Amino acid sequence: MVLLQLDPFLNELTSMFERSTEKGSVWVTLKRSSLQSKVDKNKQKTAGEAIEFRCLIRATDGKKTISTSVGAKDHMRFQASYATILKAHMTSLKKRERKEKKKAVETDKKEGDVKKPKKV
Amino acid sequence: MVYITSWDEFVDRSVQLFRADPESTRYVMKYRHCDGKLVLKVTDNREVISNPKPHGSKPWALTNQPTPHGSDEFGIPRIECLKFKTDQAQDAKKMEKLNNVFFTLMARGPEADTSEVTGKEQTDAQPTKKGRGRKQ
Repeated sequence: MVLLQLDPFLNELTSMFERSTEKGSVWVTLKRSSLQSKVDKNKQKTAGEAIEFRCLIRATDGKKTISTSVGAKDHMRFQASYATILKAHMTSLKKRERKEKKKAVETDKKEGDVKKPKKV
Repeated sequence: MVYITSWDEFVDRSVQLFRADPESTRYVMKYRHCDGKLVLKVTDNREVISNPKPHGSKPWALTNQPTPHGSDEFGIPRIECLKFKTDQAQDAKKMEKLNNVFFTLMARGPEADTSEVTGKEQTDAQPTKKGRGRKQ
């Protein structure tokens, strides 16, 4: 597993999404981690040092696994780019069926009120 | 595997699970483009024992308070694996918010305030409503 910087990770994640459009899945895992071994953590604990935790992000398409991590300072920027990527690639999910007109929300309400008494 | 059908329940219990054990809880998203499916999973890997109870009865749905780890009030091993599955685009938007909650909790710590993240949409939504009436 390769630990990447934020931008290379996002680029690779994008291509994973692109590669898996016809078949396959993409998994993304978030986990709180100190990125250290238990031994190191215990050493730090006994030394009374505070352990720094980061959010570890792993992604895989079943063949390749990549990972990166964000801390308290940079997670805002990352989560914004991550959300953009998801939005751009999760296009096969079903939309709600009322996209004919933009005004649909208001007309739906009116029609709904009129139709209900008819059905009864 | 039992899927949770209510989004709000899934969110509440996921955050609860994470707060109970921040260092061993993970949040996984699986997206399958060809089938148009999105599955979210939160687990701390404690219990993988399958639930002997039928789908209908949800012993965990009764309380908001976290029960002692690994067992519910009936003493049956609890599955500490929460799953939510959807094929709706609107749920992906909700997921975005949950992602932000988890990024915040994991990067800043379980004590971090997520109200800022979750409350964002409400504050965003208000100005757009006002914007409807504007004439340009």
